[in-house]
Amino acid sequence: MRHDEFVGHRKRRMAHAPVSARADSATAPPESAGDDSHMSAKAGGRQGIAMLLLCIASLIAVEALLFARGRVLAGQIADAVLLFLILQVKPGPGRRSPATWSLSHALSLGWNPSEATRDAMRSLALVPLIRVVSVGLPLRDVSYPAGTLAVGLIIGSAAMVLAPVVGVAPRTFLTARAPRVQLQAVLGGLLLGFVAYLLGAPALWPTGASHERALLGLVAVVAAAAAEEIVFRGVVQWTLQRALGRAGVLAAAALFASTYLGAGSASLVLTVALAGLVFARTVVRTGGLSGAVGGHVVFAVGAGAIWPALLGRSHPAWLSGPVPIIALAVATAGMTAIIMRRHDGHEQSPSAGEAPVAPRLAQLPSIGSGLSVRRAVVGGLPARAVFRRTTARRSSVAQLSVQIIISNHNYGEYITEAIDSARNQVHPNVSIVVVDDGSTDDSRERLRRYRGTVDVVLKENGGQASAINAGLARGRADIVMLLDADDVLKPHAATRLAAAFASDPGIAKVQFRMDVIDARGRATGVTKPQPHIPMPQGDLRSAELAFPFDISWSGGGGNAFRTAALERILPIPEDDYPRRGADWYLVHLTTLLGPVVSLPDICASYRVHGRNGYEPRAPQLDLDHVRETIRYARVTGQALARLADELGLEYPRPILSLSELSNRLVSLKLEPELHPVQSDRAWRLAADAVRAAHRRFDVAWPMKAMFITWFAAAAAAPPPVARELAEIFMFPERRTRLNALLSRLHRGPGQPPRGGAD
Amino acid sequence: MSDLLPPLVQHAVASKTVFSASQAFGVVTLVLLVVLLLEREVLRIARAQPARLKALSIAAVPLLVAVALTIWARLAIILR
Repeated sequence: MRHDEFVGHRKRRMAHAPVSARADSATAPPESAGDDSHMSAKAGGRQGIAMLLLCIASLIAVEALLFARGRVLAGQIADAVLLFLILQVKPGPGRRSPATWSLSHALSLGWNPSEATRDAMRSLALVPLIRVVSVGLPLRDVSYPAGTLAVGLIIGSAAMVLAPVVGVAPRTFLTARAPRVQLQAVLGGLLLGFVAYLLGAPALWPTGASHERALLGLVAVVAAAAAEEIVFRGVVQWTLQRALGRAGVLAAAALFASTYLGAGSASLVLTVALAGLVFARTVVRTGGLSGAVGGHVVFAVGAGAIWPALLGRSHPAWLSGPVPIIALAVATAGMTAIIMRRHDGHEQSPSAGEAPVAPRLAQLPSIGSGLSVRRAVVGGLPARAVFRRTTARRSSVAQLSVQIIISNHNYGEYITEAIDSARNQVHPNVSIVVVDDGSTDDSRERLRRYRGTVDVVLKENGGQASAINAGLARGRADIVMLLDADDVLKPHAATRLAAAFASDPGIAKVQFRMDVIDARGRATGVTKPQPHIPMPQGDLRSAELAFPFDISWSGGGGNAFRTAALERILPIPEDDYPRRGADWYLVHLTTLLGPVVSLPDICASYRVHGRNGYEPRAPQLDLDHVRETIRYARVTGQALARLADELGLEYPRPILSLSELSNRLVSLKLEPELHPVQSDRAWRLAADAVRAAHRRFDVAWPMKAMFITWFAAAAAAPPPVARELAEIFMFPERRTRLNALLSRLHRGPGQPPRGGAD
Repeated sequence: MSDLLPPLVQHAVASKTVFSASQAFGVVTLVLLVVLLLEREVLRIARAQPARLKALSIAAVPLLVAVALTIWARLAIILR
């Protein structure tokens, strides 16, 4: 199909297809073979949520037992049992042995939690741990502040270590964005601290205490406040919010309040609950803990030290009546309603291991209409255009339609598994298009049995770009997922992606990790990108235009795109990507059209079977692969420059990336006669590398110096040495000791140079 | 005022000697620690997922600190 035909065809379909009729026959619930896993995934999800709620209720009940009856030992035993049970959460997908399977399977009663539910359960372990440790410590002859400080340091440290395990990045705790919201939390803490003082909160230190005692008390309060916020807002709230949505925020606040049941009167507990909700709201809005910790410190110090010092310790008698309880209950209900209110566009979505999307981006929808030329500071670089606000509306997750395009060329042995995985999606609004790109094996025969259930397109061999273009021309959904015929989707993939897109109509692309399976579908224990590599998200235009091929992107199958964004850049130019590499075009160009979200979840399996089109078979230099990468990078870089010009974006010219330059240098040094860029000279490439390294705002200067040193050495070295240098540079497996150091030198979006979008 | 060490808990701990407290609260901590460490070893031998082992370790370390401090306190009293 020619490009003009393609565009015309798409426009006709767009003009005639009503929004409600986007789903085709393939959106019907999976039948027959797909039913079991489909139902089991749904049931597992429901069971997971039920177990999570049961766990939260049990923790609150134990706190009530502990404080209502004063049975400290019974409470500690109950907490110990709960802690043990929580730690038996069933392992996630990946390698597991029969022994671990049976143990956790028996204890978990066969429930099959999602990744988010698993993380939430694990984070809840911190709550009973607080009580088991605080009761278990020998604090008889230790002052209250010293005891609190000890417990705070132990629990705070445990929470900081646990955070990355449950998918929360500790560095986001220090986020100080949205200062006005953070200040509101501090003022709220001050006000509620005054209320707590009026209601008889205990003093931090006795009258006439020494300066040393007062100082220790202050240090203990600050440490305790930080530890409590890290536990309840930083870890528990984030993970519960991921698993339960807005209700998770309330659940975390309820847990927090329950641990204060022994604080004194009902009104005092309500004050603490209200303070917890205020801090929770701040964390939801800012994505960081700074305001919550500040508010908590002001709350505790104000209630226990400042207000008593200023106003004395006598309290009005009427405050012991029902009036304050009613007023606080109303205020708590109001705060609950505010938190449960519909998404207002300023909230941070909890993303495991990733920096949250910057707040300004969360409220900057728009894709299809492009970018304005309004100047702003975005992504750390000055003078960038921001995404233009449009009238695009938020959609519920279920409303968003997802189109899965499966492109196939001679992957007959895997194609049915790919199609079945697409049909088994839990998401209710999924359509499937399978494009067979001139297969000569038994693919078409296998596809026959799907006629009538999925949209099958049979075409002559034209390459990956032509297959994707043909698939995109067949339908119109809100979201498009690309799936290679040898890969497999997880049942929850479309739902997770739809949820991410639903959170902000401006998001252009959502990427996720994939676990690597072998030809027989067995997990290899490897994920792509690797788990220790943070995947960038947010407004990445600055990085994309400064060093596009040095950013760690998930491969084509690890992405979903908003159709409105794709419409601006489609069709994929088939002449530029004659065989493969079409995903380079989509992955890179969509980054200029809206914010990017990186999901922590593994949503698909990537199969390595020895016949992969673009997968190195071993960590050894393959110069054909290097030259192919150079060609993809060059045409993609040109397409990026064209789009940036169309959008009125400023960018450094020419677009350079260290990974692309390294590929060109290696190709030139080792096989100059086949090098695809005739004008290249080794020293000129080294000089360009200095410029490219200078643009890498995501790495520290020692790493830039290492890059420049490598280029200088590779440019000067004889070919055998250059080959060795190339393998060390391109394959992290060949420099395991150096990787730990390199990872510490990263500070923002972008990763150590690799092969671009693969 | 902190939920890390509520007055009720502090009072319960302070009302006992180190010896009697460690025979009550300390035993619970110790038993849980031993169970978690045993489970961790079993899972390690069975090559369980690293994330699972890490979660167990993270829970075990604070308990280990509590048990170590309790033993140290008892020893300090005996040696004194």
